[in-house]
Amino acid sequence: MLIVKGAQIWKDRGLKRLDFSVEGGKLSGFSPSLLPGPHDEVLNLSGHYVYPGLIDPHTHVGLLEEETGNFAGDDVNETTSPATPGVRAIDGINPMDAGIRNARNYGVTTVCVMPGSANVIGGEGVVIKTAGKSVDGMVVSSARKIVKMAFGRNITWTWSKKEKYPSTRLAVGAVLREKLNAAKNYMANPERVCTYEMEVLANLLKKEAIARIHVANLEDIETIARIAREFDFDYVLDHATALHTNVEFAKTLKVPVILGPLNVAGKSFQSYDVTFASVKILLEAGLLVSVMSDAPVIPLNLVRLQLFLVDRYRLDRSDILDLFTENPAKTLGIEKQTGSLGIGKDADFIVLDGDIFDYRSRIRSTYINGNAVGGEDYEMDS
Amino acid sequence: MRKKITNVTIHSIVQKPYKGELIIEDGKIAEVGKTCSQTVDEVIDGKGGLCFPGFIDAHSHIGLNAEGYGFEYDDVNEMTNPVTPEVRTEDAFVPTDAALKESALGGVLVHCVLTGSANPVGGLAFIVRHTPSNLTGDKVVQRDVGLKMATGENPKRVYGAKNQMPVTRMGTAAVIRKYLQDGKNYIEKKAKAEKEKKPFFETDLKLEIAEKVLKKIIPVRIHCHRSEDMLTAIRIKEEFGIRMVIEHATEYLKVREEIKKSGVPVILGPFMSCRPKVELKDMTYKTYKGALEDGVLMACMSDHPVFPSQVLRLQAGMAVAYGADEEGMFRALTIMPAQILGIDQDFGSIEKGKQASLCIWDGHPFDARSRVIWNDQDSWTAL
Repeated sequence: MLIVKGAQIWKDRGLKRLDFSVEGGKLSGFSPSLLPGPHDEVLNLSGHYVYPGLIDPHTHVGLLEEETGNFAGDDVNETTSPATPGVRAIDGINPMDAGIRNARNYGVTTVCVMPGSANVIGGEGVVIKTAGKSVDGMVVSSARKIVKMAFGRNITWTWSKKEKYPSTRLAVGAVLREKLNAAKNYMANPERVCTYEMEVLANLLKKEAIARIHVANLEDIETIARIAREFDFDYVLDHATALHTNVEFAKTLKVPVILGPLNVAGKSFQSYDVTFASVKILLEAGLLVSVMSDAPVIPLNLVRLQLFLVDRYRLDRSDILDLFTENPAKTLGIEKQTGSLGIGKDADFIVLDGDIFDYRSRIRSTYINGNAVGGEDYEMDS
Repeated sequence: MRKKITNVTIHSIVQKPYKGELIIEDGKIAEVGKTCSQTVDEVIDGKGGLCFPGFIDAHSHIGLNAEGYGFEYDDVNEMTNPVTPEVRTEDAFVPTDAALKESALGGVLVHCVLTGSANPVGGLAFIVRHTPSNLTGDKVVQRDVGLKMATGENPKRVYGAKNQMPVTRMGTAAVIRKYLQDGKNYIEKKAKAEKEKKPFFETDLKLEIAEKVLKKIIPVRIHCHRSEDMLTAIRIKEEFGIRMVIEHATEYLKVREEIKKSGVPVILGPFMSCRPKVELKDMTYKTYKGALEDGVLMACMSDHPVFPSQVLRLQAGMAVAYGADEEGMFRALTIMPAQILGIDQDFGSIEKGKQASLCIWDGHPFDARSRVIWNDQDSWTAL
């Protein structure tokens, strides 16, 4: 058993002076003072701060690798058909990617990795911890199944260049409707021949899986909401850049949103509405809000930058930290396993030499499943 | 909340204009006449203006090519397949398109938004009205109101360049016929499964739309300029027993008897333009006069952005200059498009019980100097 002593720890929405213990990779006890037994290992963190490991619910790390050039490590979009539900992110992830090393060294212990946004149906996403040599051993198995989708102009850029359907937004919704209709036919057919693509979409219609939908503009969010009503499936809005421009509408959707990346240039008309204020507006509207890096769009060593910039809106700091921990955990369906410090949860935590909201505070070490796996100085060492 | 508009000349479309008043309650016309008796919360003095129903632009691509954005927002034609009935203009519509606000300044408050004319079978149209909201959902009057089709030069130019069927007028008609025949076969297949009480698991979203057309639930909205294209369209209509509206109908005057006999409504225009194509060679404003004289159901279109919806009224004014009856041209901007679109129970005239889709003008709408000084939706007013 590992006994962690002396630190201020973030638990139940606040900093508290508690010792805690780790057993078998799980958090096993919290107390103002824990006495170690003869066989226990003791970690003295007096003067340090412990927070739950950060969770990034929308990344492409491992798929769109750093340090590999433009081709060799680019496995993010299977742009050969606008609907590729049969491809799986897990099959393209390189756990040795510098992006994943960055994640753990800078406090991100869990990431969701998904295909990109070139296809209406991109493929299956996966939730992994950020340490390991084999991706299979990194998978967070309690996570709900994920089907990545995309709406709007990333689709039409991709397919109009090829002069292929869907070259306009007239047809983007039609691609999704056609595939979901095919899945309904498939499910109704007693003599069906199993296809992996249809099974993935059947999971969605049975609500075992959730759709994760890349979208920017309000009108495309409306189209998604219409199709979700027509076919009855659960979904999360990813990016949702313009959703805050109509709060009453946002409230009617009752879906989780994952905002970001927020510190980017508006390189297209889709990004017109990007603002950190969207976090405040949608939180106050009562939505389940998380923040993404879209790494490597924003590399994971800069995840805390978004936290600092959200903090400028003077929200409750528990609410801000939730954007990077509990809220993405709930959105991914892993909140019973990780995302906060509590008995029985995975021992995923980070140790800082100061308050996490102070930009001068550095991450001294990152723990995943109770093992020290990184920290800002690890990068210097290696 | 009840509002009274006073001190206006009411151009109800169904009666001769008269000085009168009207009362708006819950967005509807609660009372209209020389004087209105109900008590109200607010009185709007129309300052002697002309109160018209909002004009209806029955054929437009507004919102599909949002202005000032360039190619990124060009979603008019899905030119990758000649048969795309499943695509919807509602999915591509940009409710913040600046042209919608500008159109309201020109008195156009209702638009039917169609796909373009690149495909023989284009996609589903929907109807929107002007509102201050930034949501498409708040603007929808009716969805899936017609299936766009196209004949003539456009499909054969687009697919000719790809060396793909159709490259001729014959090919275009064949593509349309095949689609409708597939639809007939599909209906039979479904009926057979139902008769034999077998589960049906071959639902086809393209052919579900053909079924709606063949069962006359929605009309075909077919783009035709030349006379022979209109006759081909009518031939197909007769063969399949479907409902049809002919769009543009540039050469209407050459086949006016045949069109009148077919009972097909026409949406004429845009004639306030030049003639970049051979099929526009005989375009003339006199067509409006002819169609009004023939008594066919007729509307005046902008085809926005081909011709801006904001000045639709000037095209109608030009028709009057070329001999069309003025009162008839007002009907071509209001009640007749409402009838063609099947929304005349709510729109197209100022009558008790209809939607209060209204504009007050400071002068005659066909006079270029006149302005809309109030409409029922916007908070601004120039009254």
